Amino acid sequence: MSIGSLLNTAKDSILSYQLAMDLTGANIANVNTPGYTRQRVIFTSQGKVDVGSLRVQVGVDVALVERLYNQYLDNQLAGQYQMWGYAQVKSDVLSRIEGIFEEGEGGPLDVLNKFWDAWSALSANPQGQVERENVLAQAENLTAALQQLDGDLTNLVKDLGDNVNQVVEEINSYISQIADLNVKIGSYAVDRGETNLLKDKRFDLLTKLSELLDVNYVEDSRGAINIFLRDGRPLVTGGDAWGVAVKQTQAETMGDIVYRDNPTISLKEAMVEGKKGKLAALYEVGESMVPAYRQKLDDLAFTLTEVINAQHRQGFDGYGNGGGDFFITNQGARDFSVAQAVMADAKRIAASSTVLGDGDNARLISNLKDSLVMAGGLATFNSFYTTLIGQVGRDVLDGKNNLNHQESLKEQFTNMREATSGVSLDEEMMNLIRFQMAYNASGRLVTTVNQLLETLMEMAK
Amino acid sequence: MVVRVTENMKYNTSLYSLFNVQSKYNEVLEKLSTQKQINRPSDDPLGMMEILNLRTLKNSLTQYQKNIENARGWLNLTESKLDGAKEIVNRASEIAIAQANATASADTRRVAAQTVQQLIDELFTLANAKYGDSYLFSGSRTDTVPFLHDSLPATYDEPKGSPDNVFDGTVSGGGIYTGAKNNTYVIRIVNGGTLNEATYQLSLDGGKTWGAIKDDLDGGTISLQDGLTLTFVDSGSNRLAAGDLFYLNAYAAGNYRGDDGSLYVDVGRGATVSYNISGEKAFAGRDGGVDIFQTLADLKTALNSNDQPGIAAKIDSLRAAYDQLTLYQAKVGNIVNRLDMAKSNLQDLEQNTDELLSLREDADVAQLATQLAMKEVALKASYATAAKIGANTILDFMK
Repeated sequence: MSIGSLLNTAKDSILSYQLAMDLTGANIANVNTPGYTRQRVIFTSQGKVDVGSLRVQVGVDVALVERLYNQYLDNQLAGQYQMWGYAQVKSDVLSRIEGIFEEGEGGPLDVLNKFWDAWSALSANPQGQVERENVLAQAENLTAALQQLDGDLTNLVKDLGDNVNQVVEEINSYISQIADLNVKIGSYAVDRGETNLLKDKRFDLLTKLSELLDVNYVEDSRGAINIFLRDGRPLVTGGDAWGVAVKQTQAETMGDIVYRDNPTISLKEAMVEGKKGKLAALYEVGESMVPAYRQKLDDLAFTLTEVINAQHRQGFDGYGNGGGDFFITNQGARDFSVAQAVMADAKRIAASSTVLGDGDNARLISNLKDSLVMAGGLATFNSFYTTLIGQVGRDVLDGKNNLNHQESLKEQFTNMREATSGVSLDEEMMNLIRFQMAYNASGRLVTTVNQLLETLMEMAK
Repeated sequence: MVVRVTENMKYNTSLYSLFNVQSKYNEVLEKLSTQKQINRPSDDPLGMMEILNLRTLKNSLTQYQKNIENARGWLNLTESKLDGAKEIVNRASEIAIAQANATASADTRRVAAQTVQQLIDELFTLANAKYGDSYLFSGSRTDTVPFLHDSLPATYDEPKGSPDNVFDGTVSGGGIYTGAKNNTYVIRIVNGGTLNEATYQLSLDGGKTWGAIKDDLDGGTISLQDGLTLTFVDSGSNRLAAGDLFYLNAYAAGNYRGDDGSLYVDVGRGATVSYNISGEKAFAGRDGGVDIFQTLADLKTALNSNDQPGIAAKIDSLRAAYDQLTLYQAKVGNIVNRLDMAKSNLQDLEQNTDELLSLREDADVAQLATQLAMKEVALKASYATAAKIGANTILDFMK
C-alpha cells in the first residue's frame, strides 16, 4: 500500500462527508417543504489493498442517496386525501345550502304563517279592501320566497358545474405532470438518488390528484406510476396522460366526464361512485341532494296550488263570480305564482262561501294550514317545510362530522408519514456533528500523510 | 417504541389542536353573542325543527287571539245595540201603559205616537249598525242593510247572473215566494249548450251546498222552491256555458233583508264559534218571535187612531219583545264567555309555548360563561404550547 493511496482514501472520505453534509443542509433547508422526503447518504467501503498476505478493504464511497419513505403509508395517505377531499367539499357546499335555507323574517315559513293569517283576517272582514290586498301581498311573498329558494339552489348547482370544470382542468394538469415525471424518472438507467426530488414532486402531485377524485395507482418495474379509475380505465400509463373533459348532456344537469380524445366513453360513474374525492362530492350534492331538496319545494308548490285552488274554487268572489284558480304553477317552485286574474283585482279573491259576500271561504282556506295534505297525508304545509329544514340541517351536520373525522384521520396519517419521511432538525444537527467530526478526521489524515511525506523527503536529503 | 418526532409533526399537531380549541371557543362565543342556543339548523337539526314548529304554533295562537279580539269587538257592539233596543222597547211599553189608561186622550195619544215614531227611527239606527264594513244584524249578508223602513209583502229580486257568465240571454223570476225566511237560490250550469242540452245544479243556501245535477231546462223554466220559478230565454248567440251562475234573492214578508246565516270565527285548531246574532231572530221575530218593528208600528197606528184596546193589546207584545231582546243579550253573553275561556286557554298555551321556545332557543348565559372561561383556559394553554415549539433543540447545547 502506498502513501499516495492513503491520500486518495482521505480525499474520498472528505468528498463523501462533504456530500453527507450537503444533504443534511438540504434536509434542513427543506424542513417545511410540502411533500419533501428526507434523504440520507448510504456509505460503502471501497477498494481493496494487499498488505503482505492480508487483503484489506479501505476507503469510502457514497453508494446511494436514499429517500426515506414507506410505500404503505404513502398509499394510505393518498387514500385518506380522497376521503378528506370528498368530506371537505361536501361540508363546504352543504354549509352554503344551509345559508340559503336560513329561516328568518321573510323566509318561506315566516311568509307561510303570514299568508294563513292574512286569510284569517280577511274572513273577519270580507268586504275590506285592505284585507284583500294583504292576502295578495302575502301570497306574492310566499311565491317569491319559494321561487327565490329554488333559484338560489339552481344557481348553486350551476356554480358546482363550474367547479367541476375547474376540477377537471386540475386533473388534466396533474396527470400530464405526473406522466412527464414518469418519463424523467424512467430515463435513469441506474438510480442512485438522482430521481429523489422528482419522486417527491410526483408524490405531491399524486396526493393533490387524490384530493380530487377516486383513483388507484401502481408503480411499475421502471419506476413509473400508473393511475387508474375504479373501473380500470387509465388516467396515466407510463408517459401517457389520458386527458378528460366535461361533456354537457342536458340543461340543469352537471354533465358527464369523458376522455378528451374519446368523448363516447363515460367516466363519471367510475369517478364518483366510490364517494371519494372532491369531484364525487360536487356531483353528489349537485345531482342528488339539491334535486331532492328542490323536489320537496316543488311538492310544496304543487300541493299549495292544488289544495288552495280546490277550496278557492268552492267560494265566490266579491263580484258574485265563482272562484277561479288562486295559485298557478306548471313546473313547481320555479314558476309558482298568483293567478293573473286575482293578482290584477283583489276583489277576485273568493272569500265568500255564498254569493252573499260572507267571509267563510277565507276562513276555510286559512284552516288549510292544519290539514295533513303533504307527505302522503302525514304533514301540514308548515311541518313539511320544517322537516325539510331539519333534513338540510342533518345533512350539514353529517357533513361536518364526517369532515372532522376525516380531518383527524388525515392529520394522523400525515404524522405517521412525517415520522418516517419528515425532517427532524435535532437529528440533522447530530448528523452534522457526526459528519463534521469525520470530515475533520479525514482532514487530519491528509495532514498526517503530508507529515509522512515530509519525513520521507527529510530521509532523502 | 420510539417515534421519530419531526419538526412538521410538532407544528401540525400543535396547529391542529389550536384550531380545534379555537373553533370550540368560537362556538361558545357565537352562542353568547347571539344569546341563542341554536343558530343554524346543523347546530341541532331536531332542536331547530322543534323551534320552527313552536314558532308556527305560536303564530297560530296569536292569530286565534286576534280572531277572538275581533269577535269580542263585534259582540260588545252587538250587546250595546241590543241594550239600546231594550231601552227603546221599555220606553214604548211605558208609553203603551200610560196611553192605555182611560185618562189619556186622543191628543196625548197623538203626541205619544210621534214619540213612538222617534223610537222606531232610533231602533232602525241601532238595528242597521255596522261593525267595520259589516252590518251587525244581517246574518251572513254582511254587506246588505238588514232593515227597510217599510214592511213589504213576500217578494224577490230579479235574478242576476255573475259578471263572468257567458250566457247573454235573459233570465227572469216568477211565482210568489212562500218561504218563511229570506233565502238565496243559486243555479250553477254544469254542462253548457242549448237549453235542451244544458244541465245545472241548484243551491238553496246561497252556494254552500249543491243539489243533484238536473237537465230539465228544456222548456227554459225551472222550479226553485217555495213557489218560485226561474225562466231562461236563450238569445241564440252565447249559450249557457259550464260555470255560469245565476242567483235570486227571495224575501219573506216584512222589512228584513238579511238572512239567518251565521258568521264563524276560529278560536282554536278545529274550534269554530258562531258569533253573530241574526236580526231575523232578534228583531224580525221569525221563528215564532215578536216582530219588534211591526209591534212598534202597530202601537203607533193604534195611538194615532186613538184605539185604546189596540194600545192595550200591544203591552204584552212589547213585554215579549223585551224578553226576546234579553234572551239574545244572554246569548251574546254566553258567546263572550266562551270566547273569554278560549282566549284564556290560548294565553296559557302561548305562555307555555314561549317557555318551551325559550328553553330550546335561548342560551343559558351562566352555563355558557362558564364554558367560555374553560375554553379560554384551553386556548391559552394551546397558545403557550404553540409558542414552545422549537424552544428546546439541540442547538441550545451546541456551543
